[in-house]
Amino acid sequence: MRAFFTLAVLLSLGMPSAAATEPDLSALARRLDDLYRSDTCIARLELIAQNGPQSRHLQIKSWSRGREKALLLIEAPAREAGNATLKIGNNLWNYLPNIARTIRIPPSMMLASWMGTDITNDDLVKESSYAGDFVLTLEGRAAEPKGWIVLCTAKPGVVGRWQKIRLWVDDSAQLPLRMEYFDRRGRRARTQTFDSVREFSGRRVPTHMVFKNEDEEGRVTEIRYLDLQYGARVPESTFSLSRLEKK
Amino acid sequence: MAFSTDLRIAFRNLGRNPKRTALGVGAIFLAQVAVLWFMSFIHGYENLVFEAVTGPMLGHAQIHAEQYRKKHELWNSINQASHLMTHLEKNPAINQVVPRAYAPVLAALQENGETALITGLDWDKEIHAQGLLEDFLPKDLPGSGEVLLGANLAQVMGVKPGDTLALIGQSADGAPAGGLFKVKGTVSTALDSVNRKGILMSLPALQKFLGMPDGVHEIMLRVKTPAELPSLIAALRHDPDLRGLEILSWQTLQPQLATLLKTFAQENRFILVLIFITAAAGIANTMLMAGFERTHEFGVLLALGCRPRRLITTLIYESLALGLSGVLLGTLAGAGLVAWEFSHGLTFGGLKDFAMMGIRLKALHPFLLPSDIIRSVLCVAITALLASWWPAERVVKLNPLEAMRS
Repeated sequence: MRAFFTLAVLLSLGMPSAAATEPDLSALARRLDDLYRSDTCIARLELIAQNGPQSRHLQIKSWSRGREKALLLIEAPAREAGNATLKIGNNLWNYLPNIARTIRIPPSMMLASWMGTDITNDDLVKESSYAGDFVLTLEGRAAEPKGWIVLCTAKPGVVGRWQKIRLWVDDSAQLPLRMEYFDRRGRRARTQTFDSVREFSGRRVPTHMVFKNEDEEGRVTEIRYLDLQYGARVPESTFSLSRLEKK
Repeated sequence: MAFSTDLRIAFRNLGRNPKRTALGVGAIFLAQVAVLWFMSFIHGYENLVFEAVTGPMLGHAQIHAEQYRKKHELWNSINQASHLMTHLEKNPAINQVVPRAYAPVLAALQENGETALITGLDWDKEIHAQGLLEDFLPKDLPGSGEVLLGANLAQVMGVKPGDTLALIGQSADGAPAGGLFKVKGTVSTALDSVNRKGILMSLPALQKFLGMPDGVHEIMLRVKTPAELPSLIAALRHDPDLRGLEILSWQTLQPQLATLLKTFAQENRFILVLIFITAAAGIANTMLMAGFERTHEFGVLLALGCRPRRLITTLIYESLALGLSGVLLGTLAGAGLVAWEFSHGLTFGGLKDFAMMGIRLKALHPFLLPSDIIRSVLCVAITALLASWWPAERVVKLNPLEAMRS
């Protein structure tokens, strides 16, 4: 669900400027990190997980407060409706309504798939910071997609899944266009593309993201934001285990 | 006539010096017992490791959907497994067809969960010899909505029989799957992996949990004659009912174990050769001493007109009589010892849970093949003959006067 939070960062990006001046990378990293920490947000999204011959369509509603707290509730299909995931800091709990049980995800399952998608539990709780964890360097102009290429390299000593992320941003360095994730062995493991820019709560953001797993042919996850409400009222009590079971 | 006389003389000679004869027979007896026992130990050990390796989980061969072994995707299963199993059971070379399904889950008694692996089993095929639950009685098997828990996992989780366990995983189509199951009991199998992380469930229950009716992830085969496995696999690969499935021998599935077994066999053969040499040296030494210490006696016989050829014949008969007596007694005693050990079993110094590569070994049951006895008897007889040849050859060149002075 790193994608989900990445999207939250992107949602708070400001309006792009028309000039293709060389981007200020420190400002870009800070902006990404700051925007990632939006105070409150309620989102409704559609998730399509393609895994070989199988395809799953989920509709999800989410509530979040900053980077620390989030609640994800599957609303459709009916068979999966009511399944929920609660994140508080680095902890995750899953709730399954058919057995009415909430179970904390142990560290050993952090790299397991979240709800059968290409997103891992680890992606949900990771708190990577572009300014804190990566060194950004400008690689140059990109022809396709048109914009700038920025290389984000993990700082020495930073423990994380990605060694580097190659980031394509638009001319104004406001909207991401594409990201290539390289794992600790230097192999490209995931490619993420962004499109369908829309405006929510006065912010223009890409609402459609496609995650392609480069390790496994035919494994693709799509996320499409249907609605985003920044600054929506999200009570603190939303993020409790008892509320999780009442959702 | 000469033959029976020479033979009688040979036996009289043996009887004239009972201590020397007893020493010779004893040496051959001990050598034969040692050789037979070690041969039986090798057979028993190799059989034990082979049965452990190919026993409860691996089998002699396995069938999977293509690519299943690489990614263990739940959806990548063998469909219409019942039909396929009925078809396989008709194959005269196959002794047993065992279906299995697997599902990684999070198991929790309360809020905190432990990772575990559910194995879906056909109980009827698991409570027999070589099954995962071969010590189980039918009454101890889980009923509907019940599971068995690996003993170590139960200990770590603090789960007792009768507790209700929540199991959360994914169905074959990727959707979240969950269920509450009562723990019927804990199980300590021959496999560490099952004891540490295993949850055992009936195959139909797991198929329902995963949402794959009549689907399995693995069909394990046990053959009647392991030596015929390569030809069986070749035939199955051309079977139209198995098109699109992967059929692999245990050696391909676990090449490191196959190499380990091969190394064991080579080491054992080497040790066996050393034991044969030691035994042959002991026999030869006894026979040579018996020949050389009688130089004076041979000199007297030659001086009285006995022809060297007759002396040689007598010596060879003596050696053969000694050798065959020793080997016969040694074979009887060795076979008796092996039979006793076969029925009682050797338990590795009493260690109850002696394990190798995560597989608990059972008691070792040494056994002999008819070829072992034939080989050892021939070996002793040839050694005895060769050992008598040297002193016999010396007799030919013996000067009677010098021999009588010795």
